[in-house]
Amino acid sequence: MANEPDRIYIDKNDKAIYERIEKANIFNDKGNKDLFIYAMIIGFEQRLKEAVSSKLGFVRVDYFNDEDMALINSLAIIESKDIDMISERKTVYQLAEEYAHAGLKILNDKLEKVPYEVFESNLELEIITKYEAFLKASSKSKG
Amino acid sequence: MRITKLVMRNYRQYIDCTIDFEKKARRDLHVVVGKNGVGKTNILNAINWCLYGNEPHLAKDSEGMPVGNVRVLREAGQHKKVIVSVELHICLDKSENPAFFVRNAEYRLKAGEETPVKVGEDFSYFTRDNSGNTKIYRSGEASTYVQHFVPITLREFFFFDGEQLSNYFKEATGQKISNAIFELSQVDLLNRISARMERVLSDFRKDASANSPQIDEARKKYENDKEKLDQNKEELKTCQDQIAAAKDEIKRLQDALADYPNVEAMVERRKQLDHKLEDIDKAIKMKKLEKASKLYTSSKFTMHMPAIEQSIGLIDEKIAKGEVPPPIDPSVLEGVLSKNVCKICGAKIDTAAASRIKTLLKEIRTSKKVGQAILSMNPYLHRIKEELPEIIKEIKILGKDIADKQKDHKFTFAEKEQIQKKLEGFNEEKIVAYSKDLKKYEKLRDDKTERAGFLKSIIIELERNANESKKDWDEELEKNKKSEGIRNRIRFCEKAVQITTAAKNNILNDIRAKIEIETTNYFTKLIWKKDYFGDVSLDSNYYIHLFHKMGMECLGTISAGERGLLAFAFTLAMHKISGFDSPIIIDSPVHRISDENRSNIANVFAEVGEGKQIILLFTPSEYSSEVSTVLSNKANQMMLKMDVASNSTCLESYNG
Amino acid sequence: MERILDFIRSEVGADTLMLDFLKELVLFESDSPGWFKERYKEAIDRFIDGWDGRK
Repeated sequence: MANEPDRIYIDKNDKAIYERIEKANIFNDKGNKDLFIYAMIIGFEQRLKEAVSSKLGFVRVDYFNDEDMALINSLAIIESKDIDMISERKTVYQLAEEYAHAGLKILNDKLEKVPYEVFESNLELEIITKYEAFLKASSKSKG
Repeated sequence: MRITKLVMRNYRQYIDCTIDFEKKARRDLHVVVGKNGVGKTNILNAINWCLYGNEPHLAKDSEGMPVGNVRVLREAGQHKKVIVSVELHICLDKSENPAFFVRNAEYRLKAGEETPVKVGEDFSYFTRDNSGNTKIYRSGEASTYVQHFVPITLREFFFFDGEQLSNYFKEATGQKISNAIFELSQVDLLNRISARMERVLSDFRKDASANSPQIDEARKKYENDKEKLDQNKEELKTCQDQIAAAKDEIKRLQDALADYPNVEAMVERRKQLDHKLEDIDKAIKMKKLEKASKLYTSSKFTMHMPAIEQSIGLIDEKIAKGEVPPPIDPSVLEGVLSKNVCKICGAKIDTAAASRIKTLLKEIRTSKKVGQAILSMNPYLHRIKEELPEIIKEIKILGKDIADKQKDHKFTFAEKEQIQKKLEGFNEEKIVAYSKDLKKYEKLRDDKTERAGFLKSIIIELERNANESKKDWDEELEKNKKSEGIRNRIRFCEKAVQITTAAKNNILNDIRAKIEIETTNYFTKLIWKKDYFGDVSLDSNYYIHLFHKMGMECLGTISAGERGLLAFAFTLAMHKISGFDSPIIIDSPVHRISDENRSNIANVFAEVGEGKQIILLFTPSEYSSEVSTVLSNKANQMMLKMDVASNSTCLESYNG
Repeated sequence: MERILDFIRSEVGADTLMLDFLKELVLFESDSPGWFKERYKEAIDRFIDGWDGRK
């Protein structure tokens, strides 16, 4: 479709942060798209987004695989509360970019605050806690 | 034979020094006292250099320095030569005919060089015959006379360093001692006679063969059998020598390793532990990376799970409602628009209808695109939901694995540290090398022992064959009347060989027995623990054994000082039994002997000095009152003094 | 050298001829000359007559 963006943009000031955090073990063998999605998810979880002022091309859209797209699209669906919204690719990507921009700051903060081993063990605890909370909430809603 | 005078010119510390060794009363005992560094040991080196051309007792800081006095060499200037000279004057036997050995080395300072270099050396022996004529022998011929005086193979028994004595039985192997006894006993003369006799015998046997072809055939057969026998005997002797040498090495290495049990095993274990630690570290690293990757995936999914769950709900609802995929096939509407005819009723499509169809088509196209996207993402969202608990489980397992490996690492490291501590202070490389060598020599000993056993059985067979063929040959000789004369000669030679061989073996056995007795006697005189030690014995491989009075062997457990005394007793016994008349020169004879035990040794020197020339070189502290009290009125005493002005050493009479 | 001769003496027993022969060889060898065959053969020729090998 015409006007469909061919790449995802980041704030140009975020480039240095991405370059720094990709050295962490957790991102071993991970590319730009994986870092972007991770930051996006963090931002979305906190429902924090921030407009990108000075854009820098970061990842080509065709580098995202189906699983990545599923995560990006699910974000757009929930944000807009309208499934059909996923046809508006420009909007979908813009949302992803804004959430990633905010999420990156949170991620960077977490990595800088504590030694890496502590970050990892905190993360592990967080995963278990959040998943258990999700399961609890899930079973409640099923009744 | 005795040394009468030593003259040193430009040799090391001695620019021009003459030492006269005059007898004192009936004793030929001489004491030279000098501080360390003044040139005491270089007297021994001078004698060695003169006779053999080398200096085995050189101090470390003199190694590599020229033999000549450094100041004289430097002051000589460019192109001027300096002659370094040592003359050793001796008196042969009872004839009192004087003779001397002299070695001269010429040094020159060449252009551009800082240190003078040796440009020539010569060695001569001067003697006078009974008619008073001077005879001069040079180089190789002169060296032959050195061999009569003190053969180079025996010099360590005549000219030695007291410090060497305490290491004597670690370094003097059975082989060395048997060689020395062989040389000292002069049985090489008998060996030579029997060897030469064999060659004459061989000629006679060939002559006998010329008398008849049968004799010749029998001779050839015998010689062939004898050759095979001799070859195997030779190989057996070589084997036995190798076994003895291997045993010497084994003993030396076992002594060296006695204080370091299991070092080799510990070093090997430490190596294994290092490899294990390396493997564990690698495994931990891999698992940590694997865990980190799973943390990435699981945290991503966990954080997004509410969104995923909601999305699944919405998508499933749309599918359930039949909205996905859309119910109308857009290609049908496209066909209607292009033909302007309704495909169902066939009516013409007007503008309004066309516009409605276009809007519907747009909606359907959008809906299709969305539908496609939804259908595509749905399975992934479901899969994420299913896989997440598995990934979380895997993370826990990895965590446990890592913890286990870290524990393993801790224990392995602790074991390694323990070994490391035990090995501290050991020269591991040396000990491991010793252990390897020990195994090598043990294998050599075992292999050669097996080979020797095999050879012994072959030799029995070959001896039988040789005796048979000899008998056949003798019979052929008997038959032939013409051979009677030659036959007699052969028998005569064979008898001579038999006698000289038997005499040689008896002499060696006799000497060995006498050395045992004399060593025991001297050792008893020298040692302070007189009721502790029993006999000394020399076994058939010429190993020394020392026994406690209770009968146990104790050579390996005695002190360095006691070992030095045993070595000295052994040397004196060798001298006494050998009949070799040459002088003994000892540098630092009471090294490692404590003060209170020195008087025993001094008394033995005094006693031995009655029949033999002994020259002793002491430092002032070694020539303590315990020694000087015994020797002062029995020895010719001299002192070395360094002249500060000329930086050279000269001799003075000893004034206590 | 005396010791060598004593030991030879004890081995030859009553064979005085052999003893004298070996004495001669010992004296000859104590100068350790290189040549020997003619000397040995000449000595053997001198001593062989009258030698009784049974002694």
